[in-house]
Amino acid sequence: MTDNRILTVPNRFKEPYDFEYVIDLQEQILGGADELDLSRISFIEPYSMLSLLLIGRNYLRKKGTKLKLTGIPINIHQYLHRMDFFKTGVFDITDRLDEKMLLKRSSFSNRVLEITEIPNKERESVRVIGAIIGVFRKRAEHILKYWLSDRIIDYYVTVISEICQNIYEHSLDSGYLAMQTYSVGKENFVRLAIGDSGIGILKSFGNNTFAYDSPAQLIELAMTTPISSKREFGYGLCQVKAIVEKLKGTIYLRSGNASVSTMYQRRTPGSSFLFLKNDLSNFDGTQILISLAG
Amino acid sequence: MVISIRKKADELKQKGPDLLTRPVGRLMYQSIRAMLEHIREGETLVLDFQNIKVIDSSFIDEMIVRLVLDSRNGEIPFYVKLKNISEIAEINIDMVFRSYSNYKNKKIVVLTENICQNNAFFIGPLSDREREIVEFLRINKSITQEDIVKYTGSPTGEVAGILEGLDALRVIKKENTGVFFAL
Repeated sequence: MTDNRILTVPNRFKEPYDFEYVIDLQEQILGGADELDLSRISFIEPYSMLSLLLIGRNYLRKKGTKLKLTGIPINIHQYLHRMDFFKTGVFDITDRLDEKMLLKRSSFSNRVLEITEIPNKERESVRVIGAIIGVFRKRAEHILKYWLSDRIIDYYVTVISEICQNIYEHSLDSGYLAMQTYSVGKENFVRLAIGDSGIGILKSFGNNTFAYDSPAQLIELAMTTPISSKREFGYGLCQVKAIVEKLKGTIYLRSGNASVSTMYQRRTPGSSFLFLKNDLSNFDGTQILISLAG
Repeated sequence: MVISIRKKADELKQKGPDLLTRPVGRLMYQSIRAMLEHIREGETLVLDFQNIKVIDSSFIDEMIVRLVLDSRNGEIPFYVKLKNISEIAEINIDMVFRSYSNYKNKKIVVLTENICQNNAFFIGPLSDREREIVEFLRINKSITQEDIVKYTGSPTGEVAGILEGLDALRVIKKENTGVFFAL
């Protein structure tokens, strides 16, 4: 903190686990800061980007004013602009990049799905999901370049559809989706992030009588058994988990103050490879990251 | 009765290769239900998924599960068979049917025209013995209880129970003569 109102954010935007440091600062952000200094950030991946966006939206809703982002490094600014981060209208950006510095929507366009809002109304949401799937199918050969097959495209269509439906079915709020493929060294990643700041899994199941020991265990139940807070059965998260398991990918699912992660690429026979965490800092809603590495 | 799901989807203004979400599943179900007014008792309804790629669990729950349950419990009993199912659709249907069967303690199975990834012509949780009988019947077209007793070497009572169960699941047809037919 350089003064009472400017908060310098740590360089913790590379992994969802790392982003916990930023979530830990949420009380300070929502409590007193009116400016976030992003000058230390060297890299930002889709889950962290969406979570930052949700923090900004929470701020706007709570304070009635936009949170100011300052000191954004040029490469981060270019990336955020390219992903339509600023189009959401959640933040106050005073230092605009010159038009010439902005990334062109050329070949790079094919490797991302820009931030798209998933409405919390059924009819509009179904339309938006259809549009996202349409764009994804057009760009899939680039987004899934390192893993490409018709089968994997169809798997991802299922995953996008299932997770997005959970937003309007259960969160009581709208959410966002973003997807990107990128390389770090010799390793390639594809990351699909979907998040909302709604009521979260625990509150969504508030009136149900499932037995569970902790919020993280409830998330685990939602991923491993077809429970639903709205109807007799809900298959969505189970289906997502089954597909990610087939693809040997990873899931990071955070809701409220709990998270569950799976790392199927490292799974050994006989182990569940589900990691449960409770007592994290509270972050409203549910955020999911699906990753493949190879 | 054969229904092209692609044509139905076009009629319902679902232009993409995928059928996703509960509202779309409900629309499709209602549209097919309207056509079932003309189905004859014991007729097989073939749902042809040619040119459909992904159907997700919500769509399956609202459309296929409801039609399969209607085929058993409706005023006019009929049979359901799926044709030209994509690999991902099969995986998703199988997952929904298995979950439903496990947690409802009530099996749900559907026959298919094309061979599935389980190397059989059905999707859902049939036991090994049930699977054997369904396959035996598919090849032989019609069988009696005695045929199955001879084929499997199982006691008559056990075979009778399995055949009744498969008939109740609507994966084989029992005629009044006591002969069982493939769909």
